[in-house]
Amino acid sequence: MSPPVDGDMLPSEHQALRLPKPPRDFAPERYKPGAADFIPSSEDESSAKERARAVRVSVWDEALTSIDQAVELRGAPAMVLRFAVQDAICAGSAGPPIRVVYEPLDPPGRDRPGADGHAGVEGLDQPEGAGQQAKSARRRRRQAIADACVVVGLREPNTTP
Amino acid sequence: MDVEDQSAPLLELSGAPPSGNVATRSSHVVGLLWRAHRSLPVVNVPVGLDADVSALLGLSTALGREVAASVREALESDPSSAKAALHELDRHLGAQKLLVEGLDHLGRGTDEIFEVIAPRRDEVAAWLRDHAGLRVAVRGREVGVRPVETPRWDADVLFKQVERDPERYVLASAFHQWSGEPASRFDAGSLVVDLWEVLPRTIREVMSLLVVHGRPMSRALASHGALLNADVVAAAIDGWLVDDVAGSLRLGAAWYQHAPVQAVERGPLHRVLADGLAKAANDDVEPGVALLEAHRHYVKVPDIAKAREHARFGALYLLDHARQLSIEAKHQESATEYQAVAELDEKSDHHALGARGRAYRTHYEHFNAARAQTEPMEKTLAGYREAVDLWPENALFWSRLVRCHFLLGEWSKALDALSEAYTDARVPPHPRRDATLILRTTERLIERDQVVPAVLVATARPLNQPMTLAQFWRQLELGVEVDRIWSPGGFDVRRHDRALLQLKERDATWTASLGGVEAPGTDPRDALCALTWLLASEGLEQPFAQIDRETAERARPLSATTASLGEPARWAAALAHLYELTSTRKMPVAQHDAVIALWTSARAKWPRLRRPALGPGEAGDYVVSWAYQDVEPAVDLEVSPEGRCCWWMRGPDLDDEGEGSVDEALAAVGAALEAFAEDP
Repeated sequence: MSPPVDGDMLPSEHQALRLPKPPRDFAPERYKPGAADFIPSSEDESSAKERARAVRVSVWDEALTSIDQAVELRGAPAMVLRFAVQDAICAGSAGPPIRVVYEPLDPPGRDRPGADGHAGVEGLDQPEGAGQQAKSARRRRRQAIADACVVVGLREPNTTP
Repeated sequence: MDVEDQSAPLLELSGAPPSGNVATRSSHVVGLLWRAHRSLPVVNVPVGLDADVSALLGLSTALGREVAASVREALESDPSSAKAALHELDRHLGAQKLLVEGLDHLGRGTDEIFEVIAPRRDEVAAWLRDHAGLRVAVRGREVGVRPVETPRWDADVLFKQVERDPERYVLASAFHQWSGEPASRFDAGSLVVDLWEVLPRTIREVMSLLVVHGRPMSRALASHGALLNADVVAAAIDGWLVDDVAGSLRLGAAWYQHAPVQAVERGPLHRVLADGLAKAANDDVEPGVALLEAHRHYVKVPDIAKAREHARFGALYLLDHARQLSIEAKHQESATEYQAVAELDEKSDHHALGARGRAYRTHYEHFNAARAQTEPMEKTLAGYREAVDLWPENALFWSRLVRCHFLLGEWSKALDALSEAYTDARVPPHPRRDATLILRTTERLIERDQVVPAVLVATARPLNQPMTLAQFWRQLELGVEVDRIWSPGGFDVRRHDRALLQLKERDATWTASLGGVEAPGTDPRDALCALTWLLASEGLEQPFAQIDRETAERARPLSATTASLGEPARWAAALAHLYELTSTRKMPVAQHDAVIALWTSARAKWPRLRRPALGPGEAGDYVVSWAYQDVEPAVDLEVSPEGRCCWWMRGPDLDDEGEGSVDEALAAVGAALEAFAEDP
């Protein structure tokens, strides 16, 4: 099986993993995913700018990357959230589309186990704008995915870089 | 003048010449032993800080000028080791055995200053033990002697009167000789005093000098420049006051102990001896021994300038003099004198101190300057640090370094230093290690009213003698006033006023409490740490700047402590995080103030409000989110860099959002937040 190509969409029946930072000093046992867990990071934004493509929020295709591999690749403690690709697409039904696409890692990360499953969610920075309405719309789209997430739990890599 | 031309012996050995280890206080008996073992060179180890050097210089002088010169050079070049000097002696002596007198004087003294030279003294002691054919000590198996018949008195009767004590027999005989009458009092003190009364002035003068000299003196040095009048010396030997053993003049131990030489007389006598010996050194008469002794006497005068001039084999007596000044609470003078030793040490032609001596000097210079209040404590601390780097085995130095850190308010560094003392056995394990590093440090901190530091030190390691601090723990149970609390992993809580801290143990659980706030812990430190978190969270309404940067950074990682302490600790951790963001300019002040205003108002209304999740949002927003699995609804607040708020609430029958000021946001979400307040 050849590795996925950058920009190819994940099959809608696949499960994706999102690994946000664990909540800081926040009751982890009662943690509930929220819109904040799907805000594009500054790295996500700068990477998009460099490659002249849409901003992608980093996720993993669970068909190609196990939870343990994803945590190792992330290299830091993380909350592990699982969501159906289909649910993410649905969250974009109103307004700009939401797509979940493959995004091969750059070397040397590309050669590590599970690296092929790296992907990104596009459309979470849409619609553009700083006004209240645009903000609310973005928050709703993110929250819709967060609501569809199942919390797998807090995980730590075995080898911290 | 040969010794056999002097006095006839009063005593004789009662059996075959002894071997191995023997004991006597009588210089007369030492003379008998020497005569019985003529082939053995004599080494006298005197009492004093320079005992080892004195012994080696004395022996090398007796072995000839060439040996004396090489041994002297070796001892001058490295005052911290005798290896080179012993090598020179080995080269010359080969398998030759020695008559070693006073080896027990090289034992460890109780004063710390002896530790400065302990390695060198140990080297010399081991070498002398190996080379001793006969060892003569003050205590041990007495040498068997009997009186020699004499027509002047009934020797057997007199020997019985002094309870067969050879030293007192010689004194009683001398008294009879000098007074023409038999002695009437037979204890050593009375015999010396009574004898002193009947001695001619010239004899007393010589005896006074020898007493003040305090150790044997070679006849060559005694006669040079008429330091001691040769005829008077001969008369003293003839009259059994002084013994000449292998060319050195010596007194019995009772003379040093009981001779009525007054303190006021001693200074001038030291001066006479110092000048005479300095002249001998200058004239190349036994220059090694002469220099050593001149230096010692100049310190005793005291003429410190001259003593410095004649310091060649270390500056221990100068250190000791500075130490005496310190004991007399003349701290400024003491510090100045320690400083002067540093200047001596820095001379390029020779070094007066080894590493330990340098450490000792440095430490006590700053110790005394601190007590004289002539230097800032930071300088004292730097001196203490330099000293432990030079002499890491010294537990007392570490103890003072730790205390100094505490007194400067550097509690974390103090504990680091304490830990460093144990690391890699820098202070090697010994029976007094914990007593000095832990107990002594704790006790001194208690004396300085440093209660919490005392707790931190007392609990730094498990101790074998926990009861030693029982009273302290009892006092803590009753309560002690403090104005600062900190424990590793916790907040640094400082108060403007003093408040009662209580620390008690019940059923293996410790509880720390202050001002109505109580925290449990597995040990005193843990309880104190928990208390600081609770106190910090209580202080949310306090001005933010009260939490220092270092603490904020330490508090940044999510710790097991905060997780186990629940919401108050989490609030406190968030506070530290926010502080870090503003102090590193990652969060604008307006944004920070808005977040704090939100929290302060919300917590004022619901003191048991759960802490929200926090994190950066888009475009510099800061997200404050109450979203819990067990509570509906969810409340999100996004605070812009300018301090404006967007809010969003969602849940069953609730879907609201808006934008406005902090007050408007609170008015909008206030009711929803009530759901996140925990039941009391």
